[in-house]
Amino acid sequence: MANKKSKVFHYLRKSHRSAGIFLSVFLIMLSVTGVVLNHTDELALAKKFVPSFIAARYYPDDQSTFGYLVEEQYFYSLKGRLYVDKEDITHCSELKGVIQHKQQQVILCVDDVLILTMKNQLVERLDSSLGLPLGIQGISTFENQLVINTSLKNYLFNPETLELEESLNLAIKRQAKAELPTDLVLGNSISWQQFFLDIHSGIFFGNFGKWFMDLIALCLCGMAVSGIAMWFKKF
Amino acid sequence: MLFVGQASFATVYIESADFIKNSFDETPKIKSIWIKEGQQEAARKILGHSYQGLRVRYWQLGTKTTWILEEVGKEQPITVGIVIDQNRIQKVSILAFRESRGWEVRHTFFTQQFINAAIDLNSELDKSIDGISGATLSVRAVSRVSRYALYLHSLI
Repeated sequence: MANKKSKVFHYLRKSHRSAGIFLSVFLIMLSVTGVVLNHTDELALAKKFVPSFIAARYYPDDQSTFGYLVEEQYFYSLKGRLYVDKEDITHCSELKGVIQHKQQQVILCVDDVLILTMKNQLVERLDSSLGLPLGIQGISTFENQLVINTSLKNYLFNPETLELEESLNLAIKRQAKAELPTDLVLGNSISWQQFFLDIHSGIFFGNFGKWFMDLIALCLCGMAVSGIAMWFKKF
Repeated sequence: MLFVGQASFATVYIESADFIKNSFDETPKIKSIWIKEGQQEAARKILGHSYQGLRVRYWQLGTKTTWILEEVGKEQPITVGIVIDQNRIQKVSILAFRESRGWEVRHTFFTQQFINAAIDLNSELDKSIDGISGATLSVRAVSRVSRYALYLHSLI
C-alpha cells in the first residue's frame, strides 16, 4: 500500500516538474500581459495604437476601408471615432458624408452635422435639437450653399444662422467615397490595450487560442493542487 | 487571426430636441457663444482640458438657459443637458452615454443632487455631490461639465 502511494507521489512529482517547465512560458506571458493591462490608464494603452504591420496580422478583411478624400485628407470613422488622416477628432458612430463649404469642413455623422475648421478643429456639432431634420442621408452643395438631403426632401442649410429652407429638384454635388490606404486604417485600428488583452485571453491566436488558454488555466490550477499535495507529503 | 473590435455607440436616454422642448414652456431662442482663449482658460481650470468645440449653442428664455455639453468620463464623451436659471442649476439630465461603465449617473437619485447648485469664485459647486461606487469617473465628468455650464451661463 505504502509502495503504491509512493509510486503515485513519484508520478505526481515527475508530472508536476514536466508540466511546470511547459507552463512556465505561459505563466510568464500571462503575468507580463496582466501587469501591463493592470496599468492601462497610466500607460494610456487604450489611446495608443499598435503599428500597422502588427495590426495587419489580425485585421479582418471585412472591415470597411472607405472614407472620403477631401483636399488630400482622408476622413473616416473607425470604432465610433472620426479621424482625419491619423488625427482623432471626435466621436462619430458612422460617417455618412464630408463636404468642404466656405472654408469649413462639413461632416455628416448619422444625424449630426459637424463643422470643422480647415485645420480640423471642431467648431460645433449640430443636431435635431437645433432644427436639423432626422434621417439625413447625405450632405452636398448647390451653388455654394450647403444642402442636407433626406430620403424625401432636400434642404438648403445655413450652419451659421441655422436657417433651413426646403428645396426641391436641386442638382446636388455630393462627395464620392474613396478607398482608404490600408496603412492609415490599420495604424488606428488596434490599441495596445486590445493587443495585450487578446494575447492575455488567447484570442490573438484565434478561437483555438481562447480554448487553449482555458486549458492552460486549468493546468495551472492542477499545478497548484499537486504542489500543495507534495508539500503535505514532504512535511 | 481574429480581431474583436469594440465600437463605441451611444445609448441615447433622451433626444436633445425632446430635452429642450421639456425644459421650456415656450419656444426658446437659440444663441451661441464663441469659446475664446478666456473661456478655454476657464475650461482648462474646470474641466482639466480645453473644451472641444469653438462655438457652443445654447437655448435661452428670459433668465433661463439650457446647455447641451459633452465631457469624457473615461474614454468616451457623455452628453449632458443642463438647465440653469438665475445662476443656479435647475435640472441635469444625461442625454447620451457611450462608456462601458458608469451609466448609473443617468439616475435621478444622482442628477437631482445638482438642483440649486451654483459655482463659487473658484468655479467649485457650492454643494457637495455624492459619488456612486463604480461610476467615479462619470460622476466627476458630470460634475465638471455642470460647473462649466454654470460658468458659461455667467458670461451671458
